[in-house]
Amino acid sequence: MISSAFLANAEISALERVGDIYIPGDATYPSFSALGCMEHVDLLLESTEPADLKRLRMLLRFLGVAPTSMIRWMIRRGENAYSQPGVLAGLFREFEFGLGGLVKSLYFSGKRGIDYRGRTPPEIIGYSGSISNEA
Amino acid sequence: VTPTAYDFIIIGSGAGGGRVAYELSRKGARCLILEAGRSYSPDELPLGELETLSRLYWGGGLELSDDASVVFTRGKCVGGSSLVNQALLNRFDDAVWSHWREQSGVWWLDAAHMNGHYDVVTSQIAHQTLGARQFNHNSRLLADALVKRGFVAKGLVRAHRDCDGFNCMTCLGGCGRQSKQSSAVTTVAWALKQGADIEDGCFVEGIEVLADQVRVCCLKDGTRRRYTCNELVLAAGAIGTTSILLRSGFHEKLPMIGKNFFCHPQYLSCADMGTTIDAHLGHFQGVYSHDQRLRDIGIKIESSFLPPALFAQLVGGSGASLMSLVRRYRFCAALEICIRDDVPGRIRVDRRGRTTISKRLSKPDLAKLGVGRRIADELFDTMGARSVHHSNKAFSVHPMGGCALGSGPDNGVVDEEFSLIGYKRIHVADVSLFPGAPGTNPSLTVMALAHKAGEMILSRHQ
Repeated sequence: MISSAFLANAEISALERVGDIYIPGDATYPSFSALGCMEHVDLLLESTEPADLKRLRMLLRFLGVAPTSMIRWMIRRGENAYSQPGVLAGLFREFEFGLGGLVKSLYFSGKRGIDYRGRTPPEIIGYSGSISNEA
Repeated sequence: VTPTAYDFIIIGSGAGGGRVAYELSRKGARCLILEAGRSYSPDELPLGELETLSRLYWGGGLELSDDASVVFTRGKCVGGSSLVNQALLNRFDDAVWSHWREQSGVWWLDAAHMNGHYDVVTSQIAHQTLGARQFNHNSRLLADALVKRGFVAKGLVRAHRDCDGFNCMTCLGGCGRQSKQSSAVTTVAWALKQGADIEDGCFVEGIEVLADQVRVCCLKDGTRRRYTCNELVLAAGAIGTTSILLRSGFHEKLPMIGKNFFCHPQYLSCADMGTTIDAHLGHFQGVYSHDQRLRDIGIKIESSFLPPALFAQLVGGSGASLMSLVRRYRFCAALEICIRDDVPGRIRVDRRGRTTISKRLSKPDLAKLGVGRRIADELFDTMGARSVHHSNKAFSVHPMGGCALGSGPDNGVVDEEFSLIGYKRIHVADVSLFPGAPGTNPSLTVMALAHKAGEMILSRHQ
C-alpha cells in the first residue's frame, strides 16, 4: 500500500482512480496506477499550501465515492471551461488544472513505482532533455 | 550610511534583488538578502521535473488566478525567477517608455536615459544573440515560416555562456552547468563576495516602520525572526512585493497597491509535422517575431516547447485524446503566442493573509489571441504541418506591476526615486514597478531599473 504524509489511504485510492480515468493506459503506455507514480505524490504535495491541501483532500474524499461517470463528466466539463465565464466555470477549471495537473505531473515525471518494471512515459516518448556536460 | 544591524535589507534575490544588493554592497553598505526559497549549489539542483516544480517554484508551479484562468510560474529559490526562466534579454522600445512616462509622470522613463543602465548590466553578464547556427529544428522551422509569411524573425538574446550544443530544457529547473547567468551565479554571488549576508528559506510575513528604522518580520523553519535595517528594498517580484505591502497594511495610505497587475498571458500552439522535430533539444527558445505589425496588435510569437509533464498539462485532454497528443511529442513544431495584456488585474490579500490574483482576459486581449492563433495556423501551414493544436490554457511567466511607479498616490505606489510614496526608508526595485505591460521579456529591464535604483538610493547618502 502506498503511504503518504499528506493523504489518507482513501484519498490515495481516490487519486489513483481519477488518475486511471485521465490515463487508462494502452498497449504502449501503462495506466496511471500501473506505473506506480503515486508512490512519489509527497514530492509534489510537500510544497502545497496547507489550505490548498485541505481542499484537495476534501475533493478526493468526494471523488472516492462519486460514480465514475460523474468524474468523467467533471473532467470533460473542466476541459471545456477554459473559454467560459462565470464562477462555476472557474471551479471546473480549478478542478481540471489542479487535479489534472497533479495526475499529469506525476505520470509524465519519469518516476515509477517500486514494482513497475517497464519503461516510464518519458522513456517511451523518447524525451532526452537531460543535463549533459558534453556537447 | 549609519551603522546599525544592517544598512539595507533586500527582500528577494532575483533579477532585481540581486542587482540592487550588489550595487549597494559594493559601495560598502552592510546588506542582508532575505529569500523565501532555498539556496541550491549547482550539484544540488533537483534533476527531475517533479522535484523541480515542487522545490523551485511557488505553489509547485501551479499558482492559479482566482478563477483559474491563468497559471503563474515564478521561482522560489535563491535567484528567484532568474534561476528558472530562459534568461532572455530584451531592451524596451520607445513606445513602451513613452507610454510609461505618460502614465506615471516619471521623467526618466526614457530610452536614452535607460540605455546607460542597460549598457552597464549587459556589459557585466555573458549573453549571446542566437543565430541560425544555434537554432534547433523547431526554431529553424518557425524562422523560415515567419519570413515566408512576410514577418521579421529575430534570434533571441539569451544570458548564457558556452551553451551551444546543450539541451537547455533542463534550465527550467536551474542550470547545473552554471551557464545560465541567473542572479544566483552573478549578482547575488557578487554581493556575497562584497560582504552581503543572505538568509534563504526566510518567508517575509510583514514589515513595520519604526522611528528611524524598518523592521522585517519573517518565518524561517517554523520560527519567527525579526531583522532591522536603516532602509529596506523590496524586490520579491510583482506578486511577492505587492503581497508583503498589502499584508503590512500600506494600502490604507497607498490605495494603488495591488492594482495595475499585468502578466503577458501565453498560449502554446503545436503542430504534428509527421517527422521528428525534437523541439525539446538544444535551445528550445530560439527565435521570435520581431515585427512591428504584430507589436502594434499586441502579440509576439516565439519558438518554445516544454518537458513532458508541463506539455501534457498545457495541451490538456484526458484518455485517448491526451495520449494521441503525447505520442506526437517528438514530432511537434511548437510556438507560444504571447499577449500584451491591456486590461490590468489586481492582487489582493485576504483576511488570512493569503494572496489572491484577479486576472481575466478582456475582450480586446481575447481578440489578440484570436489573431495570434490565425497567424499560428498560417505559420504551421507554411511549415507543412499535418494538424494543429491550440492549447486553451493561459500561463504567465511574466507577472508584472502591482506597485507601479507614479507621481503620487493617485496613480502610483513608488516615486521616481524608487521610494514607497511617503516612506523614504522603503524602496522597491523589481518588476512590480512596471506601470503597464511592455509586450517584451522584462528581465533585462528589471536589472536595469534595479541598477538605477541602487544608484539613486546611494546618491541620497553621499
